[in-house]
Formats: sequence, structure tokens, C-alpha cells
Amino acid sequence: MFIGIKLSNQMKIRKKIVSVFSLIILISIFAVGYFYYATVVKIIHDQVKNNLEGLANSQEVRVEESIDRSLERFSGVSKLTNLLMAFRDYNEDVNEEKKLAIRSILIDVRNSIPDFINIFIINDAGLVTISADTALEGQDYSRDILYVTGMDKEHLRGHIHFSTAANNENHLYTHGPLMLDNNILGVIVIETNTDGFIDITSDYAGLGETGETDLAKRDENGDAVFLHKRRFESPGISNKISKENYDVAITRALQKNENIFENALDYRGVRVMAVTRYIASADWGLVVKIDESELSKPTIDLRNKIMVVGIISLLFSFIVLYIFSRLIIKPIEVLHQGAEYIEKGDYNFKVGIKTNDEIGQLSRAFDKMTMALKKSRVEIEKRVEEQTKDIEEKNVSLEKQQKAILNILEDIADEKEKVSQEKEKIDSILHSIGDGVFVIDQNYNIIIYNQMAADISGYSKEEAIGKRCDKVLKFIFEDTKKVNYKFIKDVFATGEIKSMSNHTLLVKKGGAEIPVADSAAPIKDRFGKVFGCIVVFRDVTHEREVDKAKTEFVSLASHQLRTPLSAINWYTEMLLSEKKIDKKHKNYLNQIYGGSQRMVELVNALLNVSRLELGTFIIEPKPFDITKIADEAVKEISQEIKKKKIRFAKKYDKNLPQLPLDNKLTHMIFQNILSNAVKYSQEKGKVALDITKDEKNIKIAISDNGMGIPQKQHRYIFNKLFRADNARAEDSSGTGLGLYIVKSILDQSGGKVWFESVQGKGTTFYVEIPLAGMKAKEGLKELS
Amino acid sequence: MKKSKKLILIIEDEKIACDALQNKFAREGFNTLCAGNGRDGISKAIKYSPDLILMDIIMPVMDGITALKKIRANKKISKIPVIILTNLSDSEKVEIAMASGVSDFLIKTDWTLAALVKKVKNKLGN
Repeated sequence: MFIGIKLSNQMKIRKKIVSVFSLIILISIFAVGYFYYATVVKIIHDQVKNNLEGLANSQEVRVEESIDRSLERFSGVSKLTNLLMAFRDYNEDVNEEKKLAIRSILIDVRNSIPDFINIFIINDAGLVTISADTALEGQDYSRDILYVTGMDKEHLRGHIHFSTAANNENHLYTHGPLMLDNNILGVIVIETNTDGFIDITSDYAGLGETGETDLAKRDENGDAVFLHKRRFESPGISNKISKENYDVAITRALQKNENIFENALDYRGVRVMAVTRYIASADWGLVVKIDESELSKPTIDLRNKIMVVGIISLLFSFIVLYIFSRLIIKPIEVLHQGAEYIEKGDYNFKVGIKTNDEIGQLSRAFDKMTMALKKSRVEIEKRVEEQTKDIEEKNVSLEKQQKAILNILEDIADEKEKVSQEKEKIDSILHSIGDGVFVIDQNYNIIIYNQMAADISGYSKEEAIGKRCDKVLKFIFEDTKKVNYKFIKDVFATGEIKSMSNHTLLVKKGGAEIPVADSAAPIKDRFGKVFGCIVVFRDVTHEREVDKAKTEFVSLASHQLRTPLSAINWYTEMLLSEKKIDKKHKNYLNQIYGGSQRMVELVNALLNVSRLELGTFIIEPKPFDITKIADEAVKEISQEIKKKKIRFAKKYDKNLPQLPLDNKLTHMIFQNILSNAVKYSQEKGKVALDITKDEKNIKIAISDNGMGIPQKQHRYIFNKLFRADNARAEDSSGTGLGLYIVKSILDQSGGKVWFESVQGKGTTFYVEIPLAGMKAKEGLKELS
Repeated sequence: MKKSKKLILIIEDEKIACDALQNKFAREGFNTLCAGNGRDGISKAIKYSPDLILMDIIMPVMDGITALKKIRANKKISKIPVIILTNLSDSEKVEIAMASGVSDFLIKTDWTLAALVKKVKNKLGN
């Protein structure tokens, strides 16, 4: 389509020029031709008309002249005196002799009459008395028009008339009255042939092929009857034209309508140009006519001639036009071609029009431009080449990268598959976990929610997924009933695993509150940024109850155990304060008291141990000065130290910082270890307490030079109720629980305890508490 | 009762313990009174306006914590200093008691009678 447009564009100018000029030429030639044709036709027409009229006039003249001649001749005859007298005489005296005499006169007369046929006389009675042609004599012409109209004085000059004679020819009858002394003797008729008129009517000169002169009389009906043998007579064509037939020229002529008619009809009914004349002297009509078709012949000829000339000139003009257009167009086309070539990139094309006109100038300018374009194009191509090389190189590396990426994408697709499978696994695992699990995103909206979570909380998956977690799972503090979401917030903030506080309730759908426990862990992306949180929780109602029951049991049990002990102690005390007790009994009482005391210690220790076992004890670290706690513990055993005369040395580092410590538990640690050190030292032994710190920890060292611990039994030292053999032998008052308690405390609070000991030489216990302090622990009870 | 002697109300269901305490405190120059349960203790406190109350926790009819609350609620006796003297070392109970304005929570087995007397004297001395 584009090419089509291109081609037609090329042709457009030529087309334009050609069509415009063609139009001009066409119109001009046509106009000129037509004008000329019309003018000439008119001229011809007029000429023909004139000719025809001229002819008509001359024919009329001839006819009239002929009539006049006839009439003159008649006059000559009808006025012959001798004839007249002879006839008068005859009429008076009819006799053969006279008749013969008249007859001979008539015969003489006939010599002076050309075209003579007969001459006869009708008497006043209407009888043909004398005729040259004797056959006629005696005939009754009384009704004959010759007699009827001849008997008129008005026709003295004669009247001309024709009619069809016996032999079917038209005879001319010039007739008139014979008048003598003002008396009409009779009618004399000169019968001639119509040759004279026929000469006129058959003179077709100047009337071409179809023209003729028609001569006709009016018959008794008024219809036209032709005198002559017409040019186009045929059996089908009548001699008579009805007077109604006004279109026929001869009718008009007889009606004295003398004119030139361009569209009249003739006796054939053919269109003719007719000149009509009325011959008054004979009451005849004269028509000089010529067929329209013949008239138009010259015009047709002319038209054809003009057309031929026109066509030739047209052709000639077109040729000239063509040549001319080429002349003009060619350079433009060359320019156009040049533009095309340049468009295609061929800058070597030269329009090269050398004329001095504007086109030539344009061509030169165009060529200059082409040159310039070529130059710049070369430059550009150079640059493009360079760039292309560059791009190609880059392309190659891109391709390589592409391939690499494709590989990676494949791998990713594989991984995705795996991941999706894993996800399915995880989903099914998640949903079969026996604890409630839900996962939230950074906006705290629930994105994963397992069946257990639904079961515990009463909110279905549909109710939970997508909603903010605090709208669905309401964790509240047991005591304040305030919302407890800090643990989750802390996970997002710190990125560490957090547990919810021990006294957390979950408000189920429907309002019921159940105790729950467990933890929240961060979900991190590979940069370590927390983008979600997974919370696992379970209904600990039962556990709590169990724990509660256990601790209550333990509490109660210890209470039950202590009750009798306190009684024993007090009564023993009271006994001991009695003055009247003798030494021996006092000794017994002391033993009793001692035993009971040991029981008390045991019960206390057991109570602590049970709490440690249950894991329900609390660590509540608060900033404390550790040295103060140490001093208190020291104070408590100061009596023992005095009694055994122990040399006690304590050394505290300067600038020991305060750190978070649970007072009670720290006290227990010191108390237990110190009491061990004192207990298992001999009299006058040495016990040292050192508290130091390094970068990370507070270090406590309690050493003695007592009995030490047998090597074999080192590993059992921290066990419940364990007492080393030598200790047991020396002192039956130990519970074997102290170190277990110390270790449990330190294990739970983030500290460490260990010892060095050589039997018989001494023992050193080391305790390490991180500078960050003890780790807090939630629980149900404090150790006591 | 002689006004110069301080009255100590001992609310304690164990007769043995009560006797021992009464004995000791009497020797130390105190008047003492025993009640066997919380309810009894309250009515006695209202009646006799003791200077100090020593109260156990585990008791029939009305336990020590409930009684304590009632005492604190009763304007007549709410100002009387109360020392819990028990063998129950339930820390929950300790907290509750302390929250109800108990000055001390003492485990019987940890305290000698002599120490107890000293404690009481200190309390009343202030």
C-alpha cells in the first residue's frame, strides 16, 4: 500500500498538470468547435433559408409569368373579333359552315398555343358547340366548373384551371367568357397540357436531392390537389391533401399563409423546410420545399468535419501536453527519485538538472544537500560502528548474565517447589502440634493459625487469619486484667525469644479466662531483621492446678512437719531455761534441741528442694551490694566461728558494683557455702571469703583448710542429700541438700559454682555471678 | 486485767503452742489470752483490746488471713499490731499478710521463745 501511495504521489504532479491542461484543452476545443459549428450551422441554415426563399420567389414568378402568358394568350384568343363575330353569327344561325369556319379559326389559333391540346367553345347553355377536337362537341358542360366560372364577366381576362382529363393527366384549362358588346356569348376554353408548369415544378435546381416545387389548386371541397407529378410520387401517396391538414405546407399555401416554415410537412408527411406562396391569379398554392434531412446533411457533414478536426487537435494537444508535462515533470520526478534514493540511503545519486530555471537551481541545491548528508552520514556510521562494537561486547556479557539468571531462576523454581513442599510439611506439622501456634507479621496481623490455637481460644481459623492478634487472642495479666502483649512487643523490639509472664490469662471466645503459658520467638529474615513473630501457647489450667496442688502440698507438708518441731523446740527451750535442771538433764535437753533443730533445717531444706524441683520458685533480682549480703551471712555464723575459734578472713575488691541480685537466694548461697566451710573445718581452722570481679563476672571464693572432699566423691557433691563419707563421719548434722540448693539457684539464675578440694587439705568453693546480675525467673513461690 | 501489763492475744489452734507462748510471755511479764480460731480471736480482740496479736494462719473455722482482713476492717481493733506466727512458709500468704499490714511474718521453727519475746518487746516498746 505504501508503494502504491508512493507511485501515485510521483504521478500526482503529472496527473495534476495533465488533467488540468487536458481539461482546459478539452473545454477550449469543444467550446470553439461547438461555437464554430453552431455559427456555421446557423449561417448555412440561414443561407438555405434564403436560398429557398429565393427559389420560391423565382418559382412563383415563373408560375405567375406562365399563368400570365396563358392568360394573355387567352385574352388574345378570346378577344379575336372575327371569332367573336363568327360565334355570334353561329349562335344566331347554327349552321355547319359557320361551325367549320369557327373551327378553322380555332385550329389556326392552336398553332400559337404551345402545349396545345384543344380549344373549344361552350355556348351560353352550357353545351360544347365547337371544339377543335370534334369529339367534344355536343357535350354538356353546364355543370362543369369551366362553364360555371367561365360565364363570369370577372374572368374576362381568363381564368386558369386544371383538372384531370380522360387519360388521367392533368390538363390546363384557360377559360373565360366570350364577350361581344357586353354580352357573354359563351365560354371559350383553351386546353393545354401542363408541361409549362411541369417544367417549373420539375426544375429541381438548387433543391438538392429532396427539394421540389409543389403546385396545387383548391378543389370544390377546399382540399389541395396537385397539378404536377411530384418528385416522390408513389401509389401510397395521395394526390389530395385535406384542407384540415394544416401541417402540410401546401395547405398553408392555399390558405394564403405565405411564409417560410422550418418544420412543416409535405404530402408525404416528411418534415421539410417549405416556403409557401399563394398564386392569386389562379388560386393556387405554391410550395418550394426541401427535406429537413437534406438540410441537416451539410450540418452533419460540418459537424463530422469539426469533430474530426477537434479530435485531431485534441490528440495533437495531448501529445504536446505530454511532451510539455514531461519536460516540467521530469526534473521534479528526478528530484523525487533523488529524495527516495536518499531516503534509502544512497547518497551518490545526483539529480543533475542543468537548466537555469528554478528547477535547475533546486536540483543543484538538492545535490549539495545530498553531498552534505553523505558526509555526515559517513561520520555517523563511523560513530555508530564504534558504538555498535561497544554494545555488542556489552550484549555478550548481558547474554552471559542472562544465562546465569535463567539458571538461577530455574534453581529458584526448584527451590520454590521444595519450599512449597516444605511448607506443606510445616503446615501439617503446625496443625498437628499439640500447642496453640500462631504467627503474626510486623503489623500484628495473624498470618498462620493452627487448629490447637482455635481449640484453645475458641476462635476459628477464619475468624483469626488476617485479623490483628490482639483482637482475637486477648492475653491479659491475671492480677490487673490488663492486656499483656508486652512480651510480643519485646520480641519485635529485641529480636529475642520472650516468654509471657507466668500469670497470663487468655480470654476465650465467650469471655472465659484460662491460664496460659509459653513463648514468643522472632522470625527473622536473612539480614536478621524481625519481620514476624511466632507464638506458642498452651492451656496450663491443669498444670497450674497440679503445680498449685504440689506446692500447696509441700507447703502444707512442711507446715505439718514443723508444727511438732516448733513445740519441741519451745518446750525444750523452756526446760533449758529452768534453773532447776541439772547438768546431765541439760545435756539431754541440748541433744533433744539439737536434734529438733536439725529436723527443722531438714524440713526447710526439703521445702526449698521441692520448690527447686518444681521449678516454681522465683528469682527477683534487684540491685544489691553483694558484700552486704555476704556480711549478713557471715554475721549469722559468727557464733559458730567464735565457738570453733575459726580464723575468718574476708577480702572484698574495691569498687565492686551493685548488681541485680535476688537477696534471699544470694543469702542462701553465702549461707550454705560459708556454713559448710565452717562446719567442715577443725578448731582453729582458717576460712577465707574473697569477692572479686573480672570483665564479665563477680567471683566469690570461699576456702577452708578443713577435711576436704574425697576425690572419689567429688562428682556427687552437688547431688541431693549427698554427704561425703568423711563429713558424715564427722558431723551428723548436715542435710546433704545445701550444695544442691546452691547449684540449682545458680543454674537457674545464670551463675556458676564449682570447687577444688583435696581430702585432708581443704576445700575452696567458687561462685561466679555475671556482672549483668542474676537472671529473673518467674515462679509461684519464693525459696525460703 | 492490770493496765500496766500489756495484753497479748494469741490466736492459735494448737494448744501446745499456745501454752508454751502463754507460759513464756507470762514469765516475761505479759498478760496473755488464747483464742482457738480466727472468729474466736476477733471477738476476743474486740472484747479485750489487746496490745498485740500473735496469730497463726492454719486454723479451723476461720484462718489467719481471713481473720487478719476482718481485724483490719474493724475500726475498733484495726490499729492493733499483728505478728503472724506460723509454720506455713507459703510466700503467697506472706505477701497477702504483709499487704494487710502485718508487721512481721515469723516461722515458728525459726524463732526461739526468747527471740520472740524480744521481738514483741521491741514492737510494743515503740
